[in-house]
Amino acid sequence: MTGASNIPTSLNPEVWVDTYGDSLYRYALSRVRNVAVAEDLVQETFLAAIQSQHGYQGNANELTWLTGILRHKTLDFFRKSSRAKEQSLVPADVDDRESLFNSNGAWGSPPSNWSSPHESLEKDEFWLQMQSCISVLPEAMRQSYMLREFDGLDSEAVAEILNVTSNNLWVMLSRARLKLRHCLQTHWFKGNK
Amino acid sequence: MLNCEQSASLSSQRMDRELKFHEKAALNMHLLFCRFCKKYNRQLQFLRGVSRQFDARESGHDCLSEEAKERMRERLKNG
Repeated sequence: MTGASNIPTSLNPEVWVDTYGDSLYRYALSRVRNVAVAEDLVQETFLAAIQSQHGYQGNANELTWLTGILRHKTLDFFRKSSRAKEQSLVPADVDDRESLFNSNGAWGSPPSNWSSPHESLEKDEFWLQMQSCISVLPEAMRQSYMLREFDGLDSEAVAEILNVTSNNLWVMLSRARLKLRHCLQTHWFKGNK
Repeated sequence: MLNCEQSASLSSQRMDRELKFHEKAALNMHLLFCRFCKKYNRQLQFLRGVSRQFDARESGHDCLSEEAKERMRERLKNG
């Protein structure tokens, strides 16, 4: 087994599917929202990981390392699909103005006080609510929000990946934040004290 | 003067780009007098903090189907 001696013993591909499959799948599904695509991304991640085991430094845990690979695969997927689209997602999504503001540009339902918001973070239900509020965002808003705020990519990188102008991106993010805030206020901060 | 919709938009954009001098001035002026927008601005910061902590891997109950897992195990075995 001398050929395998440079592979850290902690890397154990046989058990990856059972140990990390679900976690990676949840990550992928939260990003692409399509079961088949999410499964493909997870499988591609495992295959890529096997081929680049030497890239594993041993200073990150296996799941962190695999998630990093999956993240790159997911970004590539977005990059490809945003360029394959004949028409951008943007205009229709940005168009729905809802009733968040009235015709004078004043708040339709003004931000109210959020009681002890930081205590919410301790509750599992809060994160489920957060996920649910994210998942009902229109697709382009959801993608831009996740890349910008979950992944922490800068605006230029997100605009490049989604193939939109910076101006469009700023508008989408602004809409996404309005909707997300409104959703949390409606479904969490009212009634959860 | 900005209205609340414009103020909310600038509050958001301030998180993504450097505002121009006149935008900053107009936003700060509006925030000085509008408690709703001030609140909105604070809640945006909260949302950012929350989002950075969100871990999709641990959230929700979605799992790979048994068939998908079996398919992957086979595929991995064959390299």
